[in-house]
Amino acid sequence: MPEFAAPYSDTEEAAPTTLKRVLQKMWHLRMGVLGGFLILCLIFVALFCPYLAPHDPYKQDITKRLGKPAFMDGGKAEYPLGTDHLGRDLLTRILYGTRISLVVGLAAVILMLTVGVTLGLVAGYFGGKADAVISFLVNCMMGFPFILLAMSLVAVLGASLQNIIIALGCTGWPVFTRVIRIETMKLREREFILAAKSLAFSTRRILARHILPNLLPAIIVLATVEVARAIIRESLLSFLGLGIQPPTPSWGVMLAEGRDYMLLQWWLAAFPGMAIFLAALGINLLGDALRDLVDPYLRKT
Amino acid sequence: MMGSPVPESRHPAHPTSAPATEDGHLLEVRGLKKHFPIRKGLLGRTVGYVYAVDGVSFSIRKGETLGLVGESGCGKSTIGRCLLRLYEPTAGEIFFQGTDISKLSAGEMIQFHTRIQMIFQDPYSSLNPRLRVREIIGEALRVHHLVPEGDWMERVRQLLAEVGLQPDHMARYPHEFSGGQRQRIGVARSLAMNPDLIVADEPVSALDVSIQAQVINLLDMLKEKHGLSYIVIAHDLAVVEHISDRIAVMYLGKLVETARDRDLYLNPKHPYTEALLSAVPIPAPGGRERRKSRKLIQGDVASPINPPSGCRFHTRCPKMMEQCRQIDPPLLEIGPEHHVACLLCGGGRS
Repeated sequence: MPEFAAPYSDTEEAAPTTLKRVLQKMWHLRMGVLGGFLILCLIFVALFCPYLAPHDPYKQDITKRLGKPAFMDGGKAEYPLGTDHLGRDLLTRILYGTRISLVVGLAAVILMLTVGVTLGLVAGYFGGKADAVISFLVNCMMGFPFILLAMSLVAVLGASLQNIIIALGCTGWPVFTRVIRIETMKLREREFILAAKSLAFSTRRILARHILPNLLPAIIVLATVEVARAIIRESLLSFLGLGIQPPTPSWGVMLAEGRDYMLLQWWLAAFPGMAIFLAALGINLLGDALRDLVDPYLRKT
Repeated sequence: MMGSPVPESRHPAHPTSAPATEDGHLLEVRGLKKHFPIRKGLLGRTVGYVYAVDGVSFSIRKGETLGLVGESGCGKSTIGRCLLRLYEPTAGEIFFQGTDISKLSAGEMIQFHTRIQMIFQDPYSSLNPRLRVREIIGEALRVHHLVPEGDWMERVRQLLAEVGLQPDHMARYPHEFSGGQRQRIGVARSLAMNPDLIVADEPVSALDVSIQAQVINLLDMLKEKHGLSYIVIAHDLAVVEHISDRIAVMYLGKLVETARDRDLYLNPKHPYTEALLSAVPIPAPGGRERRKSRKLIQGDVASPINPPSGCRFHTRCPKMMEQCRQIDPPLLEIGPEHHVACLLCGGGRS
């Protein structure tokens, strides 16, 4: 057994103040705090970008095209990160792109989570025929190239925000199912599940109260990885022209547009790429910290 | 909300709550069998069976403790799980207070589950690590409405006190407790259902020796207080010796000998029982004398997938006779409450 009962002392040495405790905790989870800060920034930007952005994201001005960022020679303070090939402000478009990325990332993962966790629970807990069918489905999905599947889905449904979310959700759930299935199988053999059965609890109660909470760390880790991946995949689909359609500002679209100018006007691709990186990093850091927080073994207050 | 004590009527006094069957038995098991299919290949064809429990009959009186002893893999835990319908028995009848519980529907089982409960072997695996102690013990109280709404915390406090834990342990998580304390929480959880019978599946084998006695004494004390009956499953005769009124010895899915505590220790009839007894360490000066006559059995338990013909013990029996290969001896009464399944004890006569 991996768990060892922690020695417990009834007398707490000099109870620290609440503020001190909170600060200690934050230091302990400092990477998570950094991640949380990044995510809060993203949410703030997504909500208030009309007020934050210096320009209109769609306003073209061909005379000002391919302007350099403000910190370079010849750059103008009016356009802090320069302008793109149609003379639109790059910073403005990146700020607006946050909305697309967050919505796509969250919505796609909620979709994956609902489908993936449900199927994983059913396959893992009931086993037998249900497990055989679900496992076969998962294996088929995992073997299928993501790009091909997403491309065909978008081709059939048409390229729109909603359909990108559906395409990402449909291709992402098997990861959840596979992990949740195995974890459920391991939990099912634990004696506390037998105990719950011998206390005559309903199957629904056992799944919801005794299995699902024990899957939380796995779900959080997976969900954060998948939010980051969904954001990257949205960029990828948009880059290939199958996702968000220009002129809507999406980081992937901007990356695709910047590709043609990569050698001389590198900032056109570099800044949207940086935005994708920061968003993915923030989510991953936050997810790691959240997993530690929900684990009762590590929870010491 | 947690002020008023639980009304006595909700926590019925036990001696009156379990009317025994006409013959005085609380639980009677007849011809219980549990065969696990072995599936192989893509299509999951059944290629054989594990004969975990293969025709076991016994009974237990109100207030009695039955010790069920045997090597690992002999099917003793499977019996325990069949009694709680955690496993569906392959064949046989289980009468609890006169009702055959092997044929009850799911709804009727809830009623039955409050009467018979289980204590598990591994206290590190038997408590949900994500629930606080009060939720672990109190969940059944709330789900099955065993106490009036709002009184459950008070009842949890009572239960904790009964198993020797502090009321302020309620808010803690299982990992904050030692193995012995965890086992006490498990006992409190099963007591919450006001059971008549508790199946204790190796209740102390995962604990330190110093803690084992404490938990055994706790079980003994609770039995006196609530008029409980126990089935104590163990692989170690020394553990059941303390607590049992009657002992049933199991080998490879069958009972080989049942007797009153004293009879079994002083007068074992079956060669397997003799061997088990002589394997118990004797920490007394006289032990050395008995040690000389130690009869340890050789070899491993035969496979329950392909059990030996005739008497299942014949492959390891020091007194094996030729007919042991062919005749499977039935469990016969050879004295008051003393049953043996061995050809040496007249099993061949029938």
